[in-house]
Amino acid sequence: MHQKTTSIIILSYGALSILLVANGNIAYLVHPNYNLVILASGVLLCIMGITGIILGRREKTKMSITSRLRYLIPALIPALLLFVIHPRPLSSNWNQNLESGTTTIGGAREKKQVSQFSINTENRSLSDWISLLNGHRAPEEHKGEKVRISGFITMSKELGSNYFQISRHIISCCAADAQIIGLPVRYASGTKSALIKPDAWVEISGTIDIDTINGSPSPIIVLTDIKSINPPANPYEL
Amino acid sequence: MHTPMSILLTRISDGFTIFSALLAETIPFILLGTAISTILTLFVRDEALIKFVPKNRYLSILSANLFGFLFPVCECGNIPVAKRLMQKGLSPHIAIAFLLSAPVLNPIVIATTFTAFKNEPRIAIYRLIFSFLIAYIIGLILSYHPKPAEVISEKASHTHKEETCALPGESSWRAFVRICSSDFVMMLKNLIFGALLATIIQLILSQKAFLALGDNPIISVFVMVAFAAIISVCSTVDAFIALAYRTTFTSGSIVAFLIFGPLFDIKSLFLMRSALSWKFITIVTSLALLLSIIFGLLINIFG
Repeated sequence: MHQKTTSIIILSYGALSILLVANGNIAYLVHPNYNLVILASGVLLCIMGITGIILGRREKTKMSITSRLRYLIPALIPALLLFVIHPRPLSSNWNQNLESGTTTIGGAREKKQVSQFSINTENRSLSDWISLLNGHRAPEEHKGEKVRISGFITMSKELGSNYFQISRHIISCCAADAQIIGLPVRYASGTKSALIKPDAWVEISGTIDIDTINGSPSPIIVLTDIKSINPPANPYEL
Repeated sequence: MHTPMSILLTRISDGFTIFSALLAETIPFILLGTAISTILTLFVRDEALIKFVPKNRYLSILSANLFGFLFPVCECGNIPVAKRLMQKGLSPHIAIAFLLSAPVLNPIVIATTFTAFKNEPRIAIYRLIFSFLIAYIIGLILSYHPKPAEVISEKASHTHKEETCALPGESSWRAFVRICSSDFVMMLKNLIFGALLATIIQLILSQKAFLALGDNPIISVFVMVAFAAIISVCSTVDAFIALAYRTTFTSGSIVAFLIFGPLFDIKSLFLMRSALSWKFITIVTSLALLLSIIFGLLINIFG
């Protein structure tokens, strides 16, 4: 295979990997645990690409421009697209898994031990709350605890008119395995309702309560305050 | 307001994100796999490799299964290694036994599976046992194949001498860059195609319908196996994905997901094309599918 052409492709993907980590867009694509690996492989690919281009200068086989382009372009299209278009975080339409009130992320996702007895409960994230509420202590024991979390709003007919769900995508490896997790939020009508629209990113404050949803008691958040926020640099829960 | 146009644009944006994510996440593993396979090609002599493998049919397959402990990459990284092993003269059935067992029988995947299912270790144990069994059984069946040369893809079998060793006067470094580069780009092209297909399928299918089928002890197994094939994620973390469905799906279907996913998915299908013939991929995939489903069903019936 034509060394220079191959090396150009390799150099492009190396540069792309480094770029994605450098400008932070990698956060929309993969779990942060992979950032270092992707950066390292980007650097190695660049080194291999540059070496190949230098070594290929003395190459004897000549490829015509058309066959070179025919070889280059299909391989380079994704890289070119990613250089030009910034990937966006997954929308709320992706993987609608709306069984609100029974949203669980599986007990062992608690990568950090979430203290059940912390005084400042407002530090807990959405996935912390879901782990706790599905954990050993009955949800009722968390009644009254203060919540402050951010996420995007999803609404569903099953929940009823005074409710929305505060949601996030959770990923293990990359965006391809993303699932939506969330908790129902009950609000009094009139409470800044202009902010409550689907897909809006908000930060909410409230307290934990238990309501009957779909016939069974479920933990919910009673809304006390809500404000609109910009989507965060890393929109996924981990 | 969700106009049809805005929904379409959102879907395209999500598709682009998913596709890019699959590429970004897999490229490092392909690099690692091609680097290792190039080192194998250049620095391990063919004779040394053949001597290393036990002569006995049953033991040789077993040794291939355990060889996976040395290569803790997911299935993507192992494909170039398996290809080079076959080109060096290793019997195809041994290379395949390695390819099928390495994605699960390695320290990283064992660790993540037991971590994810620490409340239910039998799931992790089932994964290990049945993955090993499938790799062993398929390796054994293939060892009786009358024409093992059919296994390798035409491209891989018609390798020119220059693809497998240094040219006269060429330094090892130069040979490494040359061979690794061309292997990598070939894998990359296959990856692009596989990731594109996986993304399109995920965009088309709806999740809600799929979740409703989780209870049925028979259908759930088929559904989870299809899901594993479509979702195309590495075996290093798929345990956490299976965990998320633990409450909605039967045990047997979760185990079937965990054993079939590392063997085959849309993304790796095209990566396998660089090493194996279509006919062969079909045979191995069908066997793997059949065995995964049987084991999943057995767990649901007897577990």
